[in-house]
Amino acid sequence: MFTYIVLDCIQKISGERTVYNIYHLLTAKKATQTIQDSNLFELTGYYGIDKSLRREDYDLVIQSLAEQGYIQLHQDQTAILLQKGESYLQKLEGEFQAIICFDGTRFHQSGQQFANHLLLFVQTLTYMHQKQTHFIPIIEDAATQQYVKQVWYHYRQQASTILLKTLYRELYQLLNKYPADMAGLFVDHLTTRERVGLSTYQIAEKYKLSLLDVSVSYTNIIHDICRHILDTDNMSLLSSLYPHRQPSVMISESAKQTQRLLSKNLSMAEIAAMRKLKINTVMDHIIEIAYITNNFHWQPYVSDIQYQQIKQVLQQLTSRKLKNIKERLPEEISYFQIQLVMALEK
Amino acid sequence: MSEINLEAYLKQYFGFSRFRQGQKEIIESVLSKQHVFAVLPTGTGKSICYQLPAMMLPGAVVVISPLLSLMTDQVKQLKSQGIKRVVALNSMLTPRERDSHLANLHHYKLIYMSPEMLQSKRMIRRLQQLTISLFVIDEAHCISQWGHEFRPDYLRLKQIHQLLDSPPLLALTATATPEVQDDIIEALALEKLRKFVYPMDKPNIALVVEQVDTIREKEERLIRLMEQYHIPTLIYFSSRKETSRMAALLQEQIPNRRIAFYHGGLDHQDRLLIQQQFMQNQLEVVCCTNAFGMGINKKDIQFVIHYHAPSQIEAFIQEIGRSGRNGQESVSLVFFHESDRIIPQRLLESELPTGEWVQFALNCLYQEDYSYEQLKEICLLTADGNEVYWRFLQFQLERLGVLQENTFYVQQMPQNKVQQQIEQLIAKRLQYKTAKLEEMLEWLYTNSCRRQQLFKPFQETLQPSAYMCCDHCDFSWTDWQPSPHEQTAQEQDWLQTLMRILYQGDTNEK
Ligand SMILES: Nc1ncnc2c1ncn2[C@@H]1O[C@H](COP(=O)(O)OP(=O)(O)OP(=O)(O)O)[C@@H](O)[C@H]1O
Ligand SMILES: [Mg+2]
Ligand SMILES: [Zn+2]
Repeated sequence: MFTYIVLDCIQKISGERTVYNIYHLLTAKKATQTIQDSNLFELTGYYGIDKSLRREDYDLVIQSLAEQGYIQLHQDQTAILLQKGESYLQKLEGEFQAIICFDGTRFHQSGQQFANHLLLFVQTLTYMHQKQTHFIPIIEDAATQQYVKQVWYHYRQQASTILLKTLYRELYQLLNKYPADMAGLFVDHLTTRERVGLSTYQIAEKYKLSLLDVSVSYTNIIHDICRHILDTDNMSLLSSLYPHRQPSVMISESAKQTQRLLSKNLSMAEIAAMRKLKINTVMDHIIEIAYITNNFHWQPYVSDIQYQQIKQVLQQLTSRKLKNIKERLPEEISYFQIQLVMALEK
Repeated sequence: MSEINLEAYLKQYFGFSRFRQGQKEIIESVLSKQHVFAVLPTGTGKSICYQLPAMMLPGAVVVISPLLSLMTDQVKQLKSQGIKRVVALNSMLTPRERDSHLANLHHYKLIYMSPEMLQSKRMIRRLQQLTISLFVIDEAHCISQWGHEFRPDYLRLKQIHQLLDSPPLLALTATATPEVQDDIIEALALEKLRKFVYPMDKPNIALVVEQVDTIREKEERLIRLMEQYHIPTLIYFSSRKETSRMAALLQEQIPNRRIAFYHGGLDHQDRLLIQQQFMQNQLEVVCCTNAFGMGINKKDIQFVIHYHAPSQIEAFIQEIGRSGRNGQESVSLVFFHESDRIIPQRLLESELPTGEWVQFALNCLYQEDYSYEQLKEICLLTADGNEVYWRFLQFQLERLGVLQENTFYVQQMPQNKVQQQIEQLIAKRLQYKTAKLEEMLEWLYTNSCRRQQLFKPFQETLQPSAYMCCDHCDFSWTDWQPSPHEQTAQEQDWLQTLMRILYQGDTNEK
């Protein structure tokens, strides 16, 4: 699955960004630039789906794709899909398209939290069912433990048999549509009284997958569950494990602060001075904000005429390379203004 | 405190009916407010020596522990036994968690802490507000420059103990030669210190060394042994790569045994899972580096194999001490191949920075005017994230007065002098470690009783062996027939698995 994702990204970006932008997308690093890119190339689903992905491992994948003749890697670290890669991608698409559910935009944070809640809850439930109140929690993070404790308290009146049945039913419903290995890979993550969950290595070994495949396949199912929780009504138990209260909007912490100051009508220069930031950083924030805000108040940054000019070039040009766009515009229009309009017109 | 009383407390809190060797004497001394230094063999129950007093004394017991995993494991263990008023303060906490623990510190009976945490003024001030009834230094060999895991932060503990108004102090270790013992006692500089030293030899562990001529032979021998002995087993390796390679090879050759690997490079969650699987007998064999074991308290391990020779006797004794914790017949096997001379030597050398690295760091400091944070960053970066070099440098700079409270005072000493001092120390440490390695290798070549040789540096007499002694005395594989552990869990499809693990074939009502 990992290979599919990388090839898919390379195809959609078609040489306009480097392969490291894809790495940043998958790991949700370099927030501002990455968020812009993912919107631009319609790759938001993959945002932050493998945050612990290591650069070395990613490099190996890219290298091997190049060696096998699927992609061509250029000096400037951009890559394009070759003929052989196209057909391979098509083959993989047949295998994965039906089951891919990534929604990194919505779930890159909450999905991870949910997964931890789920693991600890399942463990707790199965131990409590056997009246064993003392056990070593499989998730050590204190916030997760606190959360699950509350959920457990919420259900204190219910018989554990009923909870187990409900859990089984809800999980069954979700997993049933997956190929057996995929569902198995998910089930093997669970720790219960009966058995400790398998480690990533063990799962990879068992299903003859790479570690990266295991990790993204698991995340995929987690995102799927999250989506069902939010978009349907038939996941009552699982829904109580979802961190509803903190909707994850894709915006960096720092950009949020800038947003607060903007709403107090401070100018970019004032914000930069106040926060001891470079003006460019503040501009990046503004672009980030523009992507997620409806009715963004852009008038302080671009004149009406400039806006129309940029918009026109964007419509004419298929390339999303800033340099190509800027060349076709009057000298005085800045990169910032172009990026801003791109954000608003996405 | 009367005899009946103590045993009743032991029963009440820990469910044990009798004290093990040394525990009672140590606890009695601690309760009568004496400072105590104790050497008790691995796995014999040093923790009880402060955990029980913590339940009995007013106020809190502070425990300094060198390893994160060690303290979180103990806290988990205690909580799972129903002892809840315990907390571990370490660098892994988020600022929020730390604040909340600090605010509630007076609620806890047992406070585990890394030595780094104790360096902060805020922490000390907070502790000064509490009644500290006992100050425990676990793994106290870390204090000694010549201990096998010297930790600079440990040297400052004495000072902090004084800042806390010198409550009764308990220093515990499992492996310390008389030389190291003296060093520890000197560093603690306490008047009237009671010293308890118990023999370190374990009469139920037979010691075996097998010389092999080729690596291939080593592998084949290991495979044969794993086919033969179906008992919980630890196999120690000196490299991470080898743990995964051999685990895969073993699993391939012996499909019906459950084998995994463990090392410090695995992510946290995977380490936790492997550890738990092993504890619950879901795994039988773990191929590991020395990152595994500390804090592992599994009573039915019966076989510890060193695939590579260990680099010092103290570490070796600790590692084999993970087996036979219930007194059952166990075996330690060390494979020895000629290359085992070279690899550990190289490892030793890599544990200390080179002179060039020190020079590079000092240049940043003296010529480029780096701040503390900048220097730290560049040091971690150039050492490949290996914190050891940075901590070493940091401590040396503090010792030489160039670093005080995270600020540099370069006028205290010229660069070349600092360089010279540090290089001297590196050379000395290296020499010491090489000598330790020689000692270990010498033991591998011993022609007489291995038990006697192994413990000679630590104690004068030996307990008689409970089963077989060693390959030079009476050991033979045919006489070792431990009863095999049963296998469980057959392969199932996901639906059956889901049903099995959720329903557990049983429907108790809550
Ligand atoms: N009096 C006792 N009776 C029975 N079991 C005991 C007793 N005291 C301790 N134990 C058990 O012995 C095991 C080892 O204890 P502990 O971890 O404290 O050893 P240790 O000396 O600190 O070992 P290490 O050197 O590995 O740190 C634990 O499982 C503990 O519960
Ligand atoms: Mg201990
Ligand atoms: Zn002997």
